[in-house]
Amino acid sequence: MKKIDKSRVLSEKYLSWMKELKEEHPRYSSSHKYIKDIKMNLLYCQNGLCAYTEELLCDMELIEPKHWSNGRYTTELDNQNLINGDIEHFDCTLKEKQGYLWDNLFMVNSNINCRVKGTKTINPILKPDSTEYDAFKYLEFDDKLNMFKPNKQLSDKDKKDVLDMIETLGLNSNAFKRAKQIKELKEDFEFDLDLKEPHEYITSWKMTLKNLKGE
Amino acid sequence: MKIEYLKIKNYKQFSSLKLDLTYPKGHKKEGQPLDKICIIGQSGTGKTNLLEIIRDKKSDSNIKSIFKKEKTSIYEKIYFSSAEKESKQIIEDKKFIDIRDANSWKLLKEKINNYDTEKSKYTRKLSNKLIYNMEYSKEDFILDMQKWESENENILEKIADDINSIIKKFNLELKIDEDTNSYEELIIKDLSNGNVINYDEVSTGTKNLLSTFIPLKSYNPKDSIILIDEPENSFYPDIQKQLTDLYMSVGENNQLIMATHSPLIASSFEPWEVVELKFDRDNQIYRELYYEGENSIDNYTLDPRMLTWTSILVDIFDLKEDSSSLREKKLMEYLMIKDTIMSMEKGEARDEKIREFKKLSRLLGLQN
Repeated sequence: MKKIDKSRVLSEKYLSWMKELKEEHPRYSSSHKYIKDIKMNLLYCQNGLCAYTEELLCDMELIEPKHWSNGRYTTELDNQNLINGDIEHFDCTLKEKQGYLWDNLFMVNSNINCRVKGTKTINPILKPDSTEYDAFKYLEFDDKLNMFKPNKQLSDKDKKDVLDMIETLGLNSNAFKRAKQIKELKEDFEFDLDLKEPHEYITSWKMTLKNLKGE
Repeated sequence: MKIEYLKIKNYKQFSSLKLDLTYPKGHKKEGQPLDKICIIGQSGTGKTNLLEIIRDKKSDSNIKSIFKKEKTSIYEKIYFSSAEKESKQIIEDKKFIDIRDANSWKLLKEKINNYDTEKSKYTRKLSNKLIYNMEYSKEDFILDMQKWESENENILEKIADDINSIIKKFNLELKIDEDTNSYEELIIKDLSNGNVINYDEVSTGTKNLLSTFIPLKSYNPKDSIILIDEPENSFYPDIQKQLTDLYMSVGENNQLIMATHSPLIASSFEPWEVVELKFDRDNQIYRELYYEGENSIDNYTLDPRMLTWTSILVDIFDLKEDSSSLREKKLMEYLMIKDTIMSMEKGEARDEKIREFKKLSRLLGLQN
């Protein structure tokens, strides 16, 4: 799970609307007029990837700035299947009263949103856009079992919190594709080929590379 | 007769589907119709409808189908086994042969009688020779009889041999004799205690096998198309693995087409023999291609025969996960215990942790 920079704002209309809202937001609705703007701006900030698993959620062309005009995403997305993800409320307790809070929203794989995370309690230790978050500080990757795990250097309490959050955010869910990618890249490394940085699952690859180099 | 091309437009769930059913460039049978085809796809993608289109040789403004016929064959037919229970009615006047209707028993009886008659005739002929020809010995008689038997298949023995190679795994053995007139009269022996059990008492899987394979052997198709819907029904994985070979062994020069949900069945097909139907983003059905660029054997990037079962499930059957969330959780626990052990001093506490680690490792199948 890589760090996400959510300061790259394209959805100016939504953000100015959101900032004007009092403490209590209108009831969250997936058919709200700004939902598409929120989705596409989040995907833009996340490079088209799931905020947690780093799986690609849409065609990269769809997140290009050319689709934006006057602070709104103007291209019609007729087909629901064009984006394989949903808006996720990181802290689901905020959904009821602050459902449109930009800081609390991410785009994630639909499976993570619906089946894995759901309404589980969260710990901000692994919030991907927080200033303190650093994947290498909190996580390690076991490239043989294809699993993220807490960094050994953490305190026992932090290890426990990170472990819980790895599970809550589904960082090791649906990871078969990631395992295949790691395997292929490891072969390239073994054959001393030029290593290209993958777009998807970059964190696991960077950590694998670190393991391979014995760093 | 084999189907080599199918184009469907605006028919049932197919808005536009084209299927090239020939071997690709570079294959030793390049351009010839496929010997066997495995149709897979999510429910609703039209697998059974596709079988029925081929079965009925549909051809109209919506459907264009091209069948390659053998130049001189008089045997060309279409055999069909639906996923439904066997029908016991004899349905006449159909363009295809329903493998599981009751007609096959009539045919089987004819073949048995014919075999018996021919064998008796030949035995009489040789007996006369033995009596009247002084140079013809008893040994010659035995040799001639053996030769005749090797040249004339005893259908009852053949059916029993082929089926028994499979049902032995269920501790069963089949015996068919000339008095058998229906499935209910089959003699099925329970090898664990020697008891004879009735057809009605055998498992659904065994019934499926008997009610499809016995008729097919009776018909002994040649130059024909054999269509089987969901052959895997009620079979354990090890049996599913054998089904393709079993049905391919029936008759001569046939095209076997199966619609299945079984990854194990799909694993016995060459990649160009798999027709995977999928929904596209507009919910239209298309065939997933396993090659890039030109349809040449060198351009295929997936081959079911080379994959593990897990890979088949994920890469071909599009399963999103390769294990359960509990396994995922326990794998993380496994890694955590390992880290803990590495940081512990030698002693009883560490040994206890190692025992815990090894137990979990076994449960996770990591020692396999």
